[in-house]
Formats: sequence, C-alpha cells, structure tokens
Amino acid sequence: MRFFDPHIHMTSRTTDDLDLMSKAGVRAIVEPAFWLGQSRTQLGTFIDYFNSLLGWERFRASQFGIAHYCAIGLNSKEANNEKLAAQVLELIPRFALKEGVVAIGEIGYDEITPAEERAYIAQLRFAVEHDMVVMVHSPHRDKKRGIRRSLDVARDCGLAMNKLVIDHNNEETVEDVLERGAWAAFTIYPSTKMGSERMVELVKKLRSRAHHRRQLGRLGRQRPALRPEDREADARPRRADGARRAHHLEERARRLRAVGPDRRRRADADARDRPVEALLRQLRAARASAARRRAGSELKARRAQASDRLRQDPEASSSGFTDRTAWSTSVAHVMARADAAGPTCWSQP
Amino acid sequence: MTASTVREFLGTLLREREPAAAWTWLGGAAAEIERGVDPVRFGGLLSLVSRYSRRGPLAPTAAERARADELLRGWNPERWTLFEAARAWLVLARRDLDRTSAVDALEECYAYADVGELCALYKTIPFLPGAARFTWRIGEGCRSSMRAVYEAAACDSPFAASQFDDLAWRQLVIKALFVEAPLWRVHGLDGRLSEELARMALDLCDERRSAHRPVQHELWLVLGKHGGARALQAIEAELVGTNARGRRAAAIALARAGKLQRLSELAAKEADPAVRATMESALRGELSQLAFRVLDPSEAKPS
Repeated sequence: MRFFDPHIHMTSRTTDDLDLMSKAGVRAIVEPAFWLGQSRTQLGTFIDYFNSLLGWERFRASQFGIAHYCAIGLNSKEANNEKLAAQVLELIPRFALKEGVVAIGEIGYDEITPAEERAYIAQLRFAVEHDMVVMVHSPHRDKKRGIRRSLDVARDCGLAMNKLVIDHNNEETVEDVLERGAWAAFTIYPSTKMGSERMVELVKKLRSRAHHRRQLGRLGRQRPALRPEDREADARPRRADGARRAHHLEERARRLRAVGPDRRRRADADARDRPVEALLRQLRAARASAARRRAGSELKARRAQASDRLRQDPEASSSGFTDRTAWSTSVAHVMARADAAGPTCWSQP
Repeated sequence: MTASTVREFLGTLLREREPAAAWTWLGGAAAEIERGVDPVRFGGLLSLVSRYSRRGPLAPTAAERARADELLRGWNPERWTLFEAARAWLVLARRDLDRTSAVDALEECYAYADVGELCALYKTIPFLPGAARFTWRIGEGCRSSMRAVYEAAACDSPFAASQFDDLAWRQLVIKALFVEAPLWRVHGLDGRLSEELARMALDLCDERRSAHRPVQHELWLVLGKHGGARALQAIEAELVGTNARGRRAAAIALARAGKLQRLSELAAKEADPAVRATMESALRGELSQLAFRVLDPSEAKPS
C-alpha cells in the first residue's frame, strides 16, 4: 500500500525515520512551514528554514523515494512578534510561488490575537491572489471559536472553501468545518490532539463526508510511520505459526539494520541491506501465509483487540489520506501500533 | 561566445518545444526583465517558470548539442530540463549582465532559490560575461551535497576547469567521488590531473580499503599518468578484486597510466566478458574521461 502524508514536519525527523517511512509505503509528503519549538529571533533563520524546506529536505526525502512538497507561511505563534512578523510576511512571496510549494500554511490562530489575525489575513489575500490552497492550524486553546473565526475570515477574504484545509479538528469542531464546505483534517496525536480510537469513531459517524485524516511527524515524541503488517502482527495476542516466523525474521532484520544508512557509506549499506531484503521477503511471505489463514470475521476481532491495545498506548498513530473509498483499508491501520522497537525520535517538549 | 548568442540559441530550442501559451508567457517575462525589474520580481519570474513552462527534459538533438559545443567548448545541454533552459533564457535577458547590479540580483536569487532554481542558476553562469566574478559562487555549488546542485555547478561545462585554482579544483574532483556525481562529465578533467590529485585519490583509496568499503570506480579516473608505483599497485589490487565496475574502471586506468603491455596480458586471460570488452576498448585507445561513461550507473539509457 502506498501512502501520502499531507502534513509532516520532516525538519524534526531523523534520516532513519525517512527510511522507515519509505519501507512503510510513504511515497509523498507535504511539510508545512511551522514553529520550531521555540520562537525565532532573526529574519535570516526564517530564510534558511524556508530554504531547507525547498532544498535539503526535498533532497533528503528523494534519497528514500519520497516526493517532498511543502507549504510556506508565517505560523500564528510567531505572528505575535509583530516587528519580525512584518519582515517574514514580506518573504512569503519569495518562497510561496516555487515549484513544490502546494499551499500557504500552516497559518491561522494560536491565541486569537489581533497580530495573528493581521498575519492570517495578509497570507489569505496572497493565497487568493495566487489561487493557492490554504492550510490552517487551529488553536488548541479556544479551538471551537478559533476555527469558526478561521472560517469566517477566510470566507471574508474571498478564499474558496474547497481551497481551505482546517487542521487539528476534533469531535466538537468538525461539523462547523464540513458545513462550510472546507476540508477537515485531523491530527492523530493522542496525548494532545485526536486519539486513534476517537478518530475511528468519528469517521464512522462522518463516513459520508469528505474529509482527510492523517498522522504527522510532530515536534513531540511520536512514531513516524507504521507498517500495516507490524500493526496486525502486533495486535494479535497469540501469533499463528506464520506470524511467529514473521516476528522472528523481523527481529533479525531489525538487528541487521541497527545502524542507519546515513551513518554509513551507501555502498556499504547496500551490501548490508541485501541479507535484510532477503529476510524481509521471507517476512512478507510468512505474513501472507498467516493472513491467508485468517477468515474475514477474524478481522473484526483483531480490530477490537487493536483498539484495546491502543487504549494502553498513547503513542499509537497512523499515516494516510482517507476518503470514503480508502476508509475500509486505512481504518485498520489507525487502530494498531508500530513495532515495539521502533525508533525513538528526537523530540521537543 | 556571448551571452546574447547563447540566449538566441536557447530561445530557438524553447520556441520549438514550449506550448504556445508558455512561450507567450516567457516572452512577456523576458520583456519585463529587459525593461528592468527589482530583484524580488526577478526571482519571482524565475520561480514562475515552473507554473508556465512545459515540464520535462530539453532533449537537444545531436546537431543542437554540437551547436552548443561550438558556442561554448565543453557545454553539453544533453541533461538540461526545459525549466532550466527557460530560466537561463530569462536570466540572459537582463541588460546589465556585465554590471554589479546583475551579480547582486543573481546572488539574491541564490539566497531564495529552490533546488530546481539553484540548478538553473548554476548552469547559466558559464555564459555570463566576466566569469571570474562568479568563481566563488560556482565553488559554493561544488560544495553542495545535493547531487543535482553539484552536477549543475561542476558538470557539462568548462567553467570549473578554466576558472578554479588548484585547491578548489582538487576539492571539486574528490567531492564528486563523495556525492557519487559523474566525474567523467566534468569538462576538462583530463587536462587538469596532477600528482597532488593522484595522491589525494590514493589516500582516499587506502581509507576505503581500511574500512572494507568498495573504492568508487571513478577514483581510477583521477589518476591519469600520475601516482607512480603506488598508483599501479592500487590499480592491480582493484583488478584482482570482485567488483566488476571497479575492475573495468581500473583496466581503463591501467591503460591511462601507459601500461598497455600489462593490460593486454590481463585481457588475454580475463574471464568476465564485460571486463574483457572494456580492456579491449582501452587497448584500442578509448582512454579519455569519456571512456568512463559506460560505467556510469545513471547512464543506463544514454540518449
């Protein structure tokens, strides 16, 4: 299965994460510009940040067969440093029209201050003028009001609602967004945003509506990408023979991969990956044989088990873009978690 | 070669390849640049090429490549894209190319460029008047670890070989091995090989072998006639190895070092047909840097 992750901050992910994402089937990503965990103090750091989204990150992802796109914008948190924000807004036209920039974002509100609104409006106008999609970050404090205001202001600026993605929705906000005809996005980030299980319940309710759901490489501690096979294998309390074999092979593959290719010469990595690839082939075969033995009704039971597991695991998450047709396959993936020995990522509080 | 003749040539290529709407837009953008634009607008127009121009390779014909080489010896637009040609054509529309204002405007473009724009800008520099003004800039491109950017600055153009001092030149050559960029496409390489460069390459070879890593096959291209007994020993060690591409490259290197007798002895008992074929073509005199083209993995389908 191939995935498109429409919202991920690769700046805070390691090269090993890219490797895992690639293996999990992620083929294209969008990295919206955002805050870096602490506010910048200089215009030059914004320039270099935007440059990295259009240059190095693109190159880095391409090494793993992942097409990297980005959104450019001044985020709401840093819009409150008005003197710097005014200079950053002047930078936007220099970056936003480039190849690979698919939207203006993440913009919107954080504390819903007048300064945030000025920056939001300026960027909405730019998007309208250049016929661009806008990706809105919704505030975590006073979210409901913030989202309504985001929608109102975007409409007043003349943005077509089908060009508007409102992110970080939850059960309380999604109706407002869908009623206006905008795209509702959900961040699966169980400790502060949507939990996977809640997401599943919500999507069941909304399944007739257009929406998308995603996991993202947030600044916080989170797994970058989950292989469906891992989740299935992981979610089963008792493994069938094939699955046990798969688990064993996977352990060996993981040990062989203990050192990431970014720390080795590529040729060396290639030589080293050959036995790994062979193992993974066996792994897939073992999993396939295990899967063949499972009846359709078992799937339901597994999903329930996965849900139980999720309840105990705040880090579980998934990746993907869903709509009505993709739902039936993707929903299984949101319900389980990555292999236990997945990478620990560089994290920020 | 003048900037305007190159521009005229690129214009002809583009007119034949771009859809009418794109060509009209490009014409308007060029006219705007000719009249004079501020650096922000200039950079913006270069960016907008990706919205208007057709996407894809420029794919010049053999005659067009020959014409390019006539205009600037060593320039090969074979791997250019349409975006790059369009952007170069727009840069060359500036009326102030010989003045400081153009250098400043271009530097500003570099500061805000994405990967595609960087490549186009680096590929345009060899056509600008007063090449020495841009030596540092091309050097920056050759320090990049983004292979596409490195190639845009270093390959298929005579700029580096004719402008770089020895230190910058040697770093460019060895850097190619590190980013796995095609050294055989660095125009003028054969003319600037040296003892010092061979020494650096052989040191790198030793490092690779100590680390039990394969030696980059293009390392053998760097030796030429230099390096003496140490070079020959390293080449012989590669020839008895198991890496077919490395062995083929080492065979060419042996011929480049002048050891044709030894190579013909080896060819007579060579079991691997691909290696033997390379040995035989080297013995027939295919020794220039271009002989390494067949060993380039990215040249699987040469145009």
